[in-house]
Amino acid sequence: MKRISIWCLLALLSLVSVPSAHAQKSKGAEQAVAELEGQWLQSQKTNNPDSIVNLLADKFVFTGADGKVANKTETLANAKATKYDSVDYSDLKVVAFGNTAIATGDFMAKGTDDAGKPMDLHERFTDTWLKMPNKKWQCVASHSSPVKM
Amino acid sequence: MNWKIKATITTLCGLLVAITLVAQSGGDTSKVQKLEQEMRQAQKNNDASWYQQHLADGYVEGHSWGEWATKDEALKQMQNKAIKFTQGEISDITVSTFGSDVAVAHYKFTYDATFNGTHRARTVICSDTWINQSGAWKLASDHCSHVEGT
Repeated sequence: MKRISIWCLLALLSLVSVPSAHAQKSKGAEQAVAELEGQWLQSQKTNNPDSIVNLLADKFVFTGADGKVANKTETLANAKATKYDSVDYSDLKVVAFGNTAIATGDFMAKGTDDAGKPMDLHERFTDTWLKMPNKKWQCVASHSSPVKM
Repeated sequence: MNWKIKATITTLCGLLVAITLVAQSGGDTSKVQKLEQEMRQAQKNNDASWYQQHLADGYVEGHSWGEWATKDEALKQMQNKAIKFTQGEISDITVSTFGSDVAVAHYKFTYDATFNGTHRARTVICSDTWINQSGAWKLASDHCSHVEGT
């Protein structure tokens, strides 16, 4: 009886402690996410969106500076149709909340957009990253807005 | 101890664990939707205490005109009543949950307001990331962009 009670108590205690454990900052999370942001930038610099397929979660949602929304498939299709002549990030900041991290920064790009029109962008972005059960970080949401609208 | 009593206790314990898990996950979407409504109401009422309670340390806010605000800056704006809303309605809200401690809300927000003396009336589309810290949902980020044509 005592054993059962102890196991029951332990099971309940573990449920109660899960949220607080997740809320604790993961060591190195900011660094890991900053590196993934760097990979994303590199994919744009080389016009190679295939290299970010695994960085985006299946439920990924992109919200553009024009207010348009795209899922993962649409985002990758748009990225393939976009050609960058130059692209860079600045002021990248990552704040980790346990297994969640928020990356923010400025995005500057020139080239042609997915419709073939010339583009000259200066935007700010917020990316939401999650550490998945397989311990790999994936971006679940990305949101951009133009600077000085 | 009788094995029947042991089995009953074990079953009840398992049931309690299962109910707790379902309650944690199932209610998250509606909880976050309610928090979004509360947040916009707090914004209209310049209720800084709501923001103090619900913004995570490290919170970041991205405005549709490209400015950032930290938690301290957002609270200061509320306390100074630098933002005044005459209208604000949320629509098309969807919430995606990731486990029991992360939720991302997407929605449109149509408002008429004055921000630090600048009048803005528009519809924005927003992405908010909520995290569950020790059972309390906190807003980690809020980023909005202007919906073209509004």
